[in-house]
Amino acid sequence: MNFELTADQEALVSAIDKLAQRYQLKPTEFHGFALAGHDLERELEDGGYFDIAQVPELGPLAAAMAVERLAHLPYTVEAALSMLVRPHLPKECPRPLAVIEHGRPGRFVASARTILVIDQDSMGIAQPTASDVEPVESLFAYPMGKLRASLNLTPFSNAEAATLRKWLRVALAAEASGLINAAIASAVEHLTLRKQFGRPLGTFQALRHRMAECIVLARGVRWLALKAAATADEGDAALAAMHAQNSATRVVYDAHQMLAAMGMTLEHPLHLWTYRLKALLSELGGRGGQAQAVAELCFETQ
Amino acid sequence: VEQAASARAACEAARFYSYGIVDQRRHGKASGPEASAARYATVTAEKLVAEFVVEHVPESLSGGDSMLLAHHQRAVVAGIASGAAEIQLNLIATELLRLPREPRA
Repeated sequence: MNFELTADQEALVSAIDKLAQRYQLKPTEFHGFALAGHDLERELEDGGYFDIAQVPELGPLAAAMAVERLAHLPYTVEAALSMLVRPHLPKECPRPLAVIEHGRPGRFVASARTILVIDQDSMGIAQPTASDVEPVESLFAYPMGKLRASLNLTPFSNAEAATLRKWLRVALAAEASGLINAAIASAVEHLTLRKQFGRPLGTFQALRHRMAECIVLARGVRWLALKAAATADEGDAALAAMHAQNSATRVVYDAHQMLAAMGMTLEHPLHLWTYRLKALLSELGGRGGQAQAVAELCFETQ
Repeated sequence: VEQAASARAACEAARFYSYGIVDQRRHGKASGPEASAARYATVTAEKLVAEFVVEHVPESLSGGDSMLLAHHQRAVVAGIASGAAEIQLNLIATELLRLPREPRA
C-alpha cells in the first residue's frame, strides 16, 4: 500500500488549492444562509475541473481530494456530484446535478440540469426544465430547491442504481470531510483568539480535549472518503458515509459550543459549514441507511 | 445494526490512521502528532467494539468465545497502556490543532 500521490495528482491538488485560496474568505457584507459561489463555479468549469475523475492520470481519488478542498470554502458549488457521480451515469448528462430523495427538497435542485430521483429502493433520472423546479427558503447553507411536479423519469437498472449509490456515498463523505475540517478550523481560530479569565479559551483543557476528539474523527472521515474513492468498493463507500454522518453530528454540536453566542450569528461564517453538514445528515437514508448498507456489504451473514 | 456499523467504520478509520503512520516512516518522515491521533482513533474503535460485545454478545465473556474474551481483556486497557488517552488529546490539541498551551504552575 502506497499513500504517496502521483506527480499528476500532486499538481492537481496544488492547482485546486491555488484556485481555492482566492475564495477563502466570506465577504464581510454577506449575512445570508447560503453563499453561492457563481464565480468559483465558472472558474472550475473553464478549467475543466468537473471532469478530472475521467482523466486516467487523476481518477476519482484526485476528484475526491478536489471536492474535499472546495468544501473548506465558505462558498458552495455543486462539485461533488459532478466530479464523482456524473462519470458513472449510463449516458452523458449536463451538470449541475441534484438528488431528490423521497420527494424532499434537495441541494442545488433549482439550478440542476440533471436530477436523480430516489424513492425507496428505486432510482431514476430526468433532465428538468426551468418550470419543473423552484427554489425554497431554507436554514441549510446550500441553495435548496424542490420539484413543482413529478418528472418523467428514466429508471435505472438495479446494477446501475447500486453503482450510483456507491458514488453518491463517496461524494457525501468527501464533501463532509472538507466541511468538518473547515468547521473545526473555524472553532480553533476562535479558541485561539478569544480570551476569558485572562487567557485564551484554547488553553482550557475541557475545550482542548473536545476539539482534539473532533479532529481525530475528522481525519478518520478523510481517510475513509479517500480510501473509498481509490478502491471504488461499495463496502468502503458505505463505511465512509457512515463515519462521515456519525462524525458530523458530533462536530457540528461541539464547534457551535466552542463559539458560544458568536456561533449563533450569521456574521460569523461557522454556519456556512455546519448548516451544510446538517443538510448531509439525512441524505441516502441517514445513519440508519448507511448502517444497513454496511451490514449488507461488509458483514458476513449466515 | 447502527452500533455495529459505527464500530466497523471506526475500526477501518483507525486501521488507515496506522497505515498512514507506517507509510510516513517508510518514506523516512517523522510521524509527528498524527501518531497521537492514530492512537486515540484506535482507543475509540476499541471502546465501540467492546461496548458492542458487552451489549449484544455478553455470553462471549462468560465462557462463550475465547477470542472475544481475549479481545475484551486487552481492550479494557487500550485507553491507559503506553500513555493515557488524555495525554494523547493534550498532544493533539497543542501539536495538531496548534491551540495555545495550558499554563503550567
